[in-house]
Amino acid sequence: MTLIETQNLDFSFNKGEAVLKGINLNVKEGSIYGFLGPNGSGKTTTIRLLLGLLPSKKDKIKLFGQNLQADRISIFSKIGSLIEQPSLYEHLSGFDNLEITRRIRNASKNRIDKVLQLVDLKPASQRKVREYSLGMKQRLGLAIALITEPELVILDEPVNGLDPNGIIEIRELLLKLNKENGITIFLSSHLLSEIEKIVTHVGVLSKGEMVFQGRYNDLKELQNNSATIHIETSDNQKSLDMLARKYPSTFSENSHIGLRYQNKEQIATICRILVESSIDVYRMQVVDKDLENIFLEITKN
Amino acid sequence: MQNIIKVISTEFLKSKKTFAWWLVILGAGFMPAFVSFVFLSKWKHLVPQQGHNPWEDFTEMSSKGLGFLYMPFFVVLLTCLFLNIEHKNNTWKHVFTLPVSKNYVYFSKLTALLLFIIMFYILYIPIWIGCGFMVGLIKPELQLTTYVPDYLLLLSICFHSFIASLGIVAIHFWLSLRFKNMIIPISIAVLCGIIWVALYQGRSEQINYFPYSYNYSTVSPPNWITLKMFGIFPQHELFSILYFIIFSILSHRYFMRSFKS
Ligand SMILES: Nc1ncnc2c1ncn2[C@@H]1O[C@H](COP(=O)(O)OP(=O)(O)OP(=O)(O)O)[C@@H](O)[C@H]1O
Ligand SMILES: [Mg+2]
Repeated sequence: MTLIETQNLDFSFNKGEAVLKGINLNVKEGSIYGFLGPNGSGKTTTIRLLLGLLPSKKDKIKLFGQNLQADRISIFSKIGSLIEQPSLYEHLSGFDNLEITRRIRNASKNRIDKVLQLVDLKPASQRKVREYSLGMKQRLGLAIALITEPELVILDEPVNGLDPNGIIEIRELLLKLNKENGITIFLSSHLLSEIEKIVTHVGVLSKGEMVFQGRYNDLKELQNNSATIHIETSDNQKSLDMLARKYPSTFSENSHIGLRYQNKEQIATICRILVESSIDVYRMQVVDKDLENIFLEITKN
Repeated sequence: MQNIIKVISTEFLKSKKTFAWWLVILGAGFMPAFVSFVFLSKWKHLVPQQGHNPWEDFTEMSSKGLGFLYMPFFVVLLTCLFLNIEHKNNTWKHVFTLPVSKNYVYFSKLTALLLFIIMFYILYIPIWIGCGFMVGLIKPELQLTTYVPDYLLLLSICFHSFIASLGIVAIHFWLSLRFKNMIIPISIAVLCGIIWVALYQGRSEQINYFPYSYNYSTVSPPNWITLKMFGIFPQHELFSILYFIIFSILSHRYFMRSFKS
């Protein structure tokens, strides 16, 4: 079953430039879907639309196969969410924050204890949230999202700002929720490395457009194939011989040679090799630049 | 129904340990304490004539003080603080993704605010009575322990004071939704307080249309206008109810349509 589905979802803030252009999200039950994109690409905007916090045109967004506008309450009773910084009442304790949502969502009293244990906040539950660290706030936000055993959780940058240990903890928790409780997870991030260990599917957003959506393995495949640089030199045959020794993927084509692009350092090395062999370089070009740049953005450290 | 009560109960939980509670408690205690202080320090001038119930003076002084202070400070500040709980913590986005309709959210907020104000009176009444008797015990010459206050009058003052506040409650509920920065509604209230004083000093006929004057008008009707009564309500209290209805509709529409989390 498809839990999140959008059809040609567009959005722009009052009369401004389009922030989202024709987004077709498709998130299947049971998956951990990583929603990737560099800063400002529109991830939060998409999530706000999915949760009805920004107005969208009718019939564009379906959650659990139901229309967002028509079945808002029934949909939201099955979703736990966390948007940007967690929404917490800072003057209250972690426990009271959970209690507020528990009452409104009609969850049983013992759920509070359960979720506190799950996110490892039991000892701090009576302390004011104001005194929590960012990681603790993030975990409390997650606990609130989980209070009713949702079928789907939507998390906007849940590991943003956490230290490596914190990131690992949340990742493991999400993995566990997915494996053991069958919760579908939709999470956004601007760094592939933060979430690649757990995602089964990814959607890649760039400047408001979906440039990739599919299984994570397919993304990796595509990434390897699309990342190619073309090099035109005064002596392509000699260059090919030189470079093929170091980079077996080098090939020759029309007026240039090409090889698979791995990182910036590699380009410097190639230059050095060619220059040291007295070959003039006329052109060095990354092909399929857009997609490549996006990958660079989301894979940088 | 059960559901809306639950939602309202969370509003009270959210207000726990906030300044709004202190405001209610301190606000309810301030005027009786202040009047007691005046009675104790100026008691020589306040010893009642033979047969005069000193509670009448105690009542008049406190209800005038209440009408004067309560209007610009208490109601406005409480409304601001109350909505600020959500603004400040950036929690509207959480509230709007809970499985409750926005209508419920709106009505539970407004109802909880009104309950808070009612709580003010519930605290005010016993504190006021207690203060009066205490002053009587300390200064027996004031004869406050010989006489008893007119309890019915006290209830009636509180009831009418509440009705007279409804107009500004709704206006400031609307303002506090529109402007997340508390300074703006508070500045507007201060400005309107000044306008009220000017209208009062100028003995203006228009004072009955100005909602910020209603609290004082209720305890001390302007004597340059003939008091029109509609049942138990003077004209300005009906206007207060009218303001309440109009601004509640405005804020409801705003909340449902254009309010940004
Ligand atoms: N309230 C707003 N009014 C106008 N423009 C906005 C508003 N919020 C976001 N934008 C614009 O919309 C675009 C997408 O922003 P969004 O917050 O969705 O990006 P994001 O992918 O979540 O970025 P980040 O990784 O930094 O969180 C940006 O260009 C941003 O400037
Ligand atoms: Mg964002």
